[in-house]
Amino acid sequence: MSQLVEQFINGLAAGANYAIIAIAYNLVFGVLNVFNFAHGATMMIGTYGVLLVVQGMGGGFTVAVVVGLLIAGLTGFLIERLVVRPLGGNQWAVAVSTIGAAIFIENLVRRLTHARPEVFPRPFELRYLSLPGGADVSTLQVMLVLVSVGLMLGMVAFLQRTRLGKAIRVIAQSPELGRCLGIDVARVVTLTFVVASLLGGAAGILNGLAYGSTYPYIGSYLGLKGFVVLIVAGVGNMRGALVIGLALGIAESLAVGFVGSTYRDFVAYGGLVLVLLFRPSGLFGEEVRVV
Amino acid sequence: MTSAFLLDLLTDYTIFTVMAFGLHVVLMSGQVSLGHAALFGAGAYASALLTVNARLPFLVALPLGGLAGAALGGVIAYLVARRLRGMYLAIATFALAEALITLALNSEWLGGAIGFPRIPLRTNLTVLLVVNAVLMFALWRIERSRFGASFRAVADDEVAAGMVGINVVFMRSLAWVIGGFMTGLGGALHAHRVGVISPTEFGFSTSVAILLAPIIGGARTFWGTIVGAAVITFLPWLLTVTEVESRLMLYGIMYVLIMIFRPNGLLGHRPARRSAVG
Repeated sequence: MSQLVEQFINGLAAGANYAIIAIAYNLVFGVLNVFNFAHGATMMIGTYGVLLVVQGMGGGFTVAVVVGLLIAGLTGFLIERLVVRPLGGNQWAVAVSTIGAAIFIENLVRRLTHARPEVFPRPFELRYLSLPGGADVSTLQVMLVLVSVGLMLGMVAFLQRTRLGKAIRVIAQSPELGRCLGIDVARVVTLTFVVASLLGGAAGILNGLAYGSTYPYIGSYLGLKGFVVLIVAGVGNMRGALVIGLALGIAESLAVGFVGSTYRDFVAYGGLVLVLLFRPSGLFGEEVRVV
Repeated sequence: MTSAFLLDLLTDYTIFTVMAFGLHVVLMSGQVSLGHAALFGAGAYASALLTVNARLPFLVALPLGGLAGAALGGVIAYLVARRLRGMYLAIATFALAEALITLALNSEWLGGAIGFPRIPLRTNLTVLLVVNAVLMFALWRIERSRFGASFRAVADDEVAAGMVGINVVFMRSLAWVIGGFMTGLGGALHAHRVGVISPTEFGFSTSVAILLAPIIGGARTFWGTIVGAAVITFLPWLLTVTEVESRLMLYGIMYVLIMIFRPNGLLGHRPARRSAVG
């Protein structure tokens, strides 16, 4: 029973992270109808930004997170300007060129770091809280769940209440309508990439904290899980991404705890195949876009 | 530049073209695969099992490896290619491939993550050149036959193709079976070249590499695949970049530049209306 609770909480943190990744894909898909395959690399580079400050310069964790996020945001900006914009929204060309950008970024980091997995710093000493029923939960796990859920809710508020968030939603409905309303569509597209990359950087850092390590391919691994959530939930569906992200994280965690850790990825990929068989447009795939 | 090195590179190249030809058939019918490495793996494991466990001779196991690829192609066609299109199909094939890799990693029969060892080394340049010649002849025939015309019709407009009496679902599935056979052959040739195979080498990055050959070369004829595979195999060595990370960085930049300047591939036409994979 206590193992069940512990795995559940692990899964909740991982799942919220998957949801954040899927939301970032949704944001970009909403404004431009393309998938950004370099999003994973952005997540990874955020974690190395943190390492750069903490290990390379001996800086504090808070500064490191800010730098990590800035590097991720800058990477998103450069990807949009150099790799996506010149292709004029051609979905397949963007897929190939963002895969190219991801290969470039990953191998740049591998070259600079000798491709070793790195220990990811902890912001504070771990303390364990005992829950009734005998389960032990670390303060880090509590923090991860709170921050991830906070980010998810913050994202919803951002889309509902801010000018940029509203502009993103308008363009997701119709770029022409956006132009009629006087929105600078090109600028909003760039900013959407930046916002999505900031989210990605945060997701990468949260994952680094959860597992205590990072490596050059962590981004593509997480990015593919984000794709699974995106497709299962139905592209463009924010609420679906939240639900499916959490469900996938929890299901994986339970599979690790009760079947075996080597079956972890099978939950996601096998599950995706099943969903595509019976609901090709995703579980929540209505025609309505929530973004 | 020793001759042994050139022979090695040529072997790499001719295995790569065999597996990429299999994707070319799928692309011809207007479908995209991001899980083609699974077909490659099916051929590799089938041929390895048949030669090591069942002690069949290589030249018998080789076509059977192709058949294993064709069978998996049929499964992919039945499960996902019948209902999904475009980017959804691409991502579904990727997920199916990853699920299969997880199963293979957990299979003691296939050697799990440690790999399947002691596969007899039988692949040589003669075999490769013969297989390439046969496949190129087959592709040349297919492209000029009713099948080729039907594949292109399905790729251009499924509704219109159905109206003129083409069985769209059959043609889409047939492309997967033929393509699976070719890529499976490539897998068998690979297994008997390296001697040890493990599930992770048939993952996403291999699928991407297979997909990039026709996209870089231009997907309209199999010449595009030949050119694209040559660019991927030879360009890094011509630029004398041998360190693996630098080589991959170069690939990355190359993919971006080709998509910006030749979105239909090196042999493709310029018009910006259609991309290489249509």
